[in-house]
Amino acid sequence: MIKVIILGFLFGIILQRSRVNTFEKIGGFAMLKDFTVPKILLASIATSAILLLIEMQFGAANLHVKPFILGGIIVGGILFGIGMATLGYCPGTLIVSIGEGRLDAIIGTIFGLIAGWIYILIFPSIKSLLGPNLGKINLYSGSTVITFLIVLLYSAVLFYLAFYLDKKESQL
Amino acid sequence: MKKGKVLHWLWAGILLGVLNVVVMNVHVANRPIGASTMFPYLGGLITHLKNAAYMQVIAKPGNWELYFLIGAFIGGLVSSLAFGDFKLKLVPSRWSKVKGENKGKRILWAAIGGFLLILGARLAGGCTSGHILSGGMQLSVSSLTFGVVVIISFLITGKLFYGRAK
Repeated sequence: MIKVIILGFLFGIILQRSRVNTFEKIGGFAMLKDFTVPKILLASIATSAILLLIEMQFGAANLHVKPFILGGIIVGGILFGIGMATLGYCPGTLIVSIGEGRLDAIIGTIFGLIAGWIYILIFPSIKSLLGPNLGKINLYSGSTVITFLIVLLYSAVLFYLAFYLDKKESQL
Repeated sequence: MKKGKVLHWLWAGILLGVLNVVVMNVHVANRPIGASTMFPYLGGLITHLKNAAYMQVIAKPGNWELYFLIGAFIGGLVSSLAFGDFKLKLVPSRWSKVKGENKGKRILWAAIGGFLLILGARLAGGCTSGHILSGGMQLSVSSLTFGVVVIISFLITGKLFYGRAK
């Protein structure tokens, strides 16, 4: 329990110190005025993709891939994008921003809790509408060598995109 | 208090990536970072729905994310106090430049946005943390699809909702 709180504490500090939790950065991305959000996401994914694969070679980590439930992913993704653009926070940054004293983040959290509560109530009736479930698939290959090449290429592309956005941002 | 220096995006990205790999370690949490399951979990605890079908599905991750986000809240609080960013504020300055100072308008859209955000995250089974960061790390097809759908929806909404922002 204390361990999980410490991990969350580190998460909160990284988000807060990079200012990526703020409306200025998330709303600013929706206005195409600030690319901090995609740059940090891309750099994080690129770093962790390589490190995770190395960690897995030592048997120190397992994959936890979420199932590809097509209907839920598409409908949920559309609603999530609309919500994130108008609110200017996502679920994790919402909580970090409450810590920073942002009152609009408290409003967003209260209505997020209401949405969560409603989801519990409607879950039995919508469960079957979310499909089809295409399984827990990822882009790893059966061969470790090819998987390493795929992940290296993937990370290189993501880092390239992050630096490309950084350059574009400096020209705004 | 003088404001602290902002952490460079590249360091922030690398540190978040390292943190996620540490969390994934079988001796640490043996799961990736995630946030959105906390919302139905806490909502269900408050309304005494512990025995509902969905609450049983999310009991374990919901509990983990609750403690994780308690830590994230404390991290945001301590860090913003230490570096002079803490401020009680309802209308963000970037919002008021485009949408004006009207408090009711900000409250309304924060409420609508917060509701759609969590409803969407639960339908999709994850959010920016659980899907985009953690699924992206694992080259997960569901998460990469979610990321693409979200970015398209997010940017179209931004264009329609904020227009040509100054």
